[in-house]
Amino acid sequence: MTVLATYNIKGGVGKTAAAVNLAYLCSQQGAPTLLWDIDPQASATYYFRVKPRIKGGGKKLVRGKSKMASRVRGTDFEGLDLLPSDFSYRNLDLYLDAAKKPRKQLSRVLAPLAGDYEFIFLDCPPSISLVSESVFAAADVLLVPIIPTTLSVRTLKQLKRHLIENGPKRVRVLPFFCMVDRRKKLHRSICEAGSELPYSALETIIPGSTVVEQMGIRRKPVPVFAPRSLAAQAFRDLWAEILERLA
Amino acid sequence: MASFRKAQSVGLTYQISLSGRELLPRLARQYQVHRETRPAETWTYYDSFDWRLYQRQLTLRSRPEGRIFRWQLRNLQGELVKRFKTHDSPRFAWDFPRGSVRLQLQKVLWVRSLLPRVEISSNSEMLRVLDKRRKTVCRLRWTRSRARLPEGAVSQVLPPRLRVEAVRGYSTIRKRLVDFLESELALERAPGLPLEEALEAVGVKPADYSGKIRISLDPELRSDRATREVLLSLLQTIQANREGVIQDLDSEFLHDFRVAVRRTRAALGQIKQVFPKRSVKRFRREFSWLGKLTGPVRDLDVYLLQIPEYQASLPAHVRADLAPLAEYLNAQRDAARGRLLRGLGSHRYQQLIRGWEAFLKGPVPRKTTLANAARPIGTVASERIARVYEKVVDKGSQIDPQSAPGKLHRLRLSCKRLRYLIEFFRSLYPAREMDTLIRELKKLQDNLGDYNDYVVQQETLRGIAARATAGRQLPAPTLMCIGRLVERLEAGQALERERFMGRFSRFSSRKNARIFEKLFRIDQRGGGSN
Repeated sequence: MTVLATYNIKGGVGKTAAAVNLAYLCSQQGAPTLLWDIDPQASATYYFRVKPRIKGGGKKLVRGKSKMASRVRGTDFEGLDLLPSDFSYRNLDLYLDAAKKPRKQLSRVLAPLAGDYEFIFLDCPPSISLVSESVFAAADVLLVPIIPTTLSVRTLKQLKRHLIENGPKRVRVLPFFCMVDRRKKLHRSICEAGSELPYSALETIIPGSTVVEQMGIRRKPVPVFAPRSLAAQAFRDLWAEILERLA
Repeated sequence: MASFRKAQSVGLTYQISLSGRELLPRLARQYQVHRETRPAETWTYYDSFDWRLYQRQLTLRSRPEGRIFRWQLRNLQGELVKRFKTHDSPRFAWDFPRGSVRLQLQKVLWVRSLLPRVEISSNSEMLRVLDKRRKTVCRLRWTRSRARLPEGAVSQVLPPRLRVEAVRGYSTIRKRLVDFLESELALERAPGLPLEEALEAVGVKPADYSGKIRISLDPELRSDRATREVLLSLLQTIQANREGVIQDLDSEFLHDFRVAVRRTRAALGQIKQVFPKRSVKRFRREFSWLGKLTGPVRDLDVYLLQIPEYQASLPAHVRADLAPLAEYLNAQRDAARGRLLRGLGSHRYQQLIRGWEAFLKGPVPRKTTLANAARPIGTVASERIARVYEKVVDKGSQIDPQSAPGKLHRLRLSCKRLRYLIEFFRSLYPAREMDTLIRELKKLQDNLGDYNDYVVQQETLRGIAARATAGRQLPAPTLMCIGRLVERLEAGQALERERFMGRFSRFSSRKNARIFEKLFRIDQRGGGSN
């Protein structure tokens, strides 16, 4: 089982779009896949037309009183399941803080699902908090979408510092550029100077695209409703590149 | 098994004779359904000759895709356990990529090779049942398949099937849908599992082979008739394995073939006074020939299978030095196989098998001067087992720590005879107690067998080293490795020798003796000869 988390300290950078599309592409290759929507905004859950509610909420989950497996919902796609979000996840930090060894809680929650899935994607809320630290401990890979702006690059540096100072475990960080607008000079120059990033970025660039925005209306992954779009191709390339890096 | 995907839900499969035009409107009255076609797929299903996967409720299938092969290990109900890919088509478990699959397959398949069993091509349509949000809550897979034997010319149409595939977290809706299919549409569950249906269609019976004796005897049956039944079942084993021996599919074909021959010889020798002397003499001679014919290749197989173990027992830096020994053994095996194949294709072999079959299937004489021929097998079997058991106990109790190896060897042979007799006539006695006896006897046999293997392997390896030295066929480092191995084997031999006394006293314990007495002595009082 490989756990991949889409994460960024900043919000609105395309974490959910990446998680949903990559998880879909992963399952299409025949790998049993789970997407856990940890973000209380429940966008991923919405995309898959699932009710954003978990019996017992985040509290019971963290305390180990809910059975994870029974909270999982199948999606429209064979081999792709979803662990829905719940509004109570906004308090996940508090629940974790109250628990013993808070940083290990997410790994513990995922452990019983290890036999069921080859890949687990975590769609994380923005910010650096106990939740994200718990994610760093549970994940094998952090997929960090970055919009090529100065502030985004800065947050990546913050992340690196944080991981060095607090990271008990070596999690792989794979940043990639997304929502890229080729017409903007700044976007172009930051993408080209990728070597200045604290981590070596993936080569695939996800363009800013109305197709990605339409996910909210279609409530489907991009490759399903616009398989020939540039964005769909970009996500396919991105997934192939991630697999290559993991191999 | 922990790292394998657990089956999530048991899918239900239905027979369906309705056409799409009939089914869909009726479904649509109750449910919102989205229909999509799936690409056609052809899979080859694999299993060992003795159906090891099937017997563990597993199926292994593969299909080529470009330059790779996709594989799926599923349970019999069709749920995925593990999927993986290979670059070529593996024959043995150890040919699969490293990891949990290989470990699992090695445990199940052991040294047996995978054989293609049936090929299934299917076209399927997926009917997705949606809820008010147009979210999939259950799937119905509608499949039309054809099956054919691997490399077979004709394919058979299989009855169409509708399979309910659960979506996780929507079990209530699934249950309602199942009710609807069964009550409203009156669909009936498919009588067999998909693989079983396909095998049946191409005329293959799964689990039709076992090296074990699987006959059930009536204790009142005439002994000559019952003995023929035992021998006929052994003949079937011999015949079933011949092709695999000739094609050299794996080492177990020859092993089972040989065991059946040895059992045949034991039956001819041990079940006395049931067949005319002249026939017994002739067939014993011929089966002894067959045993000798198959011996050399089997011995070399054993050494070749042992090589990894030999290597593991050596220090890491000299392990590679053993490779020339494997090559040497392989070359010897090729030569020995040539002789074996000539033997199996010979007139003498054909004559033996034909004559033997005719003898076994022929009528039993109404009048006979043979003492045991017409007596009930229940009595004769008990007498023989009791007699051989006494011999084993007698020979065993004479062995002390100073006894010569030959004494253990003779005891080993008596144990083998006893084991065979118990297995031939297992069906005549209570199964539980027989199993206990077989288990107890097996422990003793294992000890004696290991001891003997250590003795024989030392001799053989010394012989190989001597011959290879004379002919300069093996390099010096290899000869040195052989020297080290012989030392290890000596140590092993000494250890088994020490264990023997304990093993034997356990086997000949009062408790076991009582079971033997209870099972085999009572009938003996009825008299009869030995």
